[in-house]
Amino acid sequence: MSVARVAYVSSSIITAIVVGILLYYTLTDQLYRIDIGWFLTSLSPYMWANLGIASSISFSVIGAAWGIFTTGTSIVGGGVKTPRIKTKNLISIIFCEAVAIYGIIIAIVVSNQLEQYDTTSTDPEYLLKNYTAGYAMFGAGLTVGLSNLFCGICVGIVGSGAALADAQNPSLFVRVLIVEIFGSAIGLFGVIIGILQTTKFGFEAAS
Amino acid sequence: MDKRNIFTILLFQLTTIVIGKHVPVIGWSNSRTRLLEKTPTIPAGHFVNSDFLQKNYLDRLVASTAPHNICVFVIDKLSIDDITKYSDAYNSDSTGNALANLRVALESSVSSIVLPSVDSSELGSYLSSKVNGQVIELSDPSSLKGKSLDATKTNVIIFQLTTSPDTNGRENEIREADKMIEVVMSELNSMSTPYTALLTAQQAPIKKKLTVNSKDSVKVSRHILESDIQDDKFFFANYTEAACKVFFYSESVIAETADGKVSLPQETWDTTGSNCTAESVLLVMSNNNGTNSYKFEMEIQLDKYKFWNVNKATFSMGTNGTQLKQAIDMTFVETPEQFSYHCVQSEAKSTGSGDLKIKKVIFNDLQMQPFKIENNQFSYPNDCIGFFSEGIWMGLVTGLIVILILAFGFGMLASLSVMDKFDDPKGKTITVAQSSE
Repeated sequence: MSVARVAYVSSSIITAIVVGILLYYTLTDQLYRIDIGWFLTSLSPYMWANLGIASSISFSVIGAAWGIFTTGTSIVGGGVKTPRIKTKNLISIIFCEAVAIYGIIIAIVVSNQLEQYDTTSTDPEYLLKNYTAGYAMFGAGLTVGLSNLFCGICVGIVGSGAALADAQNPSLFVRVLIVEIFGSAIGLFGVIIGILQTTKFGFEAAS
Repeated sequence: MDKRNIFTILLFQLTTIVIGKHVPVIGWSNSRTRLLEKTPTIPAGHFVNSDFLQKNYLDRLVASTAPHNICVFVIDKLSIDDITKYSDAYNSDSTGNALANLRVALESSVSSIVLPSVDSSELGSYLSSKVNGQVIELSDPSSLKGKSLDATKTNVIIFQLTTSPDTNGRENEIREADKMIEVVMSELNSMSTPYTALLTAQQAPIKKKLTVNSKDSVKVSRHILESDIQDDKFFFANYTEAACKVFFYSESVIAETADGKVSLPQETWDTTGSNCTAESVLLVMSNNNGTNSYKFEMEIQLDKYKFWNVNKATFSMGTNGTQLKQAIDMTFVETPEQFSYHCVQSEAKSTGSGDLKIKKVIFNDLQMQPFKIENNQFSYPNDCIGFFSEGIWMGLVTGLIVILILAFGFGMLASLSVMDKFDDPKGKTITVAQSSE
């Protein structure tokens, strides 16, 4: 059961279900009930905010973990033959770990902005403010999480290459490290934008 | 024809068995000969019919050679559930709660039996016919004092106890019965002859069917639970003109004022003063019966997208000609032209200015349609509750994200492979030197 086959089967089943539902609504003249506006305004902003926090920390950790295992296996494997590489190449591991730390910082910053608001209020301005805050937190978390995910993968593969190159020729290490620094900068970009997205918005407790 | 008659006869018999004949019989005796021991064990749920009762229990009582008094208490309504519920039966340290005296009597007796489900209609008459002493029928517990009973013969005393119906609850009725039993027991205990007491009832109390008031539990479940027995009364108004028809139905309408909830009369309301065109309807519903007079005024407009909505709605309430008005917000009913709007529970909050101080008007089971009514029936309803509620959507979104991540991770794990690039099945196998340690 390869990934391709599973993807094919599951996507075709889901498409069939979606098309069937859409056809039912179209043929009974009830398409007005498929209301994306209702979907976006009814789902609690707490859900969006918490999904953002969750994605920020979890995707960053996935990226960091992926990077660390990629680099780690190379260091360990190369270190069997060339033990001198092991201490110097730990810096690649640290770059990967930094990605996870970015994720947790944003998660803490965003979760501090979570507050209870008056859900029964009917003031549109008040509700707008709180819904915006929910979406902003979701966006920030997703930004940080996804950029850290790919940053971690990138740094990991580069670090693995650095370890193996270092094992062959010690002078190569510093050159490859420059590539790694560029790779880790992209994680930092994600964090900066995430901070920009979320600092202006927050849940307002009382109307 | 014959089959149908037999069926109805059987059905009638079945109903008589089910209704009211399953009464308990509790007996206790202080006779040294242990009259009520060694009786056959009754499986749970087993119904004891008259013959079985007579053969295994009553015959022992009347056949006993030592003379004793048999005292039968017949309460008008009793069931085994009442006894277990109100006597705190499953608590080992209890003192019997409403049936404390019965408990004391059972515990201090020499032998006792409890039969949960018996047909005891002939118990009194059977005992009276078989016994050789006096048969006394009393209805007042304290009247036993004055009676003199022959101590050399077996006598039967039958008490027909009726508990005065207590609206506060069954527990007080049971307590009253218990007190009556206590009065008689104290009298019996003071007599020298041993006694056997039997507690039974004329019929079991009719059980109230469990229902759920659907008005209180609307937001909880998806399925419709059986609601209270409806009186078939509802709020309805219709307005018919040559070219248009307007229907308005609500099972009940409640106006919530500062003082409390006012339930508006559930009858057909008067719609004079309304008018309608193909694109707009003014629905005026008024009710002047009763002490208060009420009026609803709704302006329904069909917009360019062919959706109608109640743009303005006012509610007036008053007495004796002075009516106070309040504007309420009913814009939640937005519906396409050809559908009716239906909502199990909706609220129209008061907006804007108004002299009448109400917070909101609550419609239970509202259904209204101002346009395109065919065949004098409501068209397909545009329900306020969709297929998936907000909570379901939130669960689905979060759940799907989590499952996607899991599936991705699982796919990665499943694509792990062993490095077999340099494997040569026909080549030399690797040998690892065994170290001798």
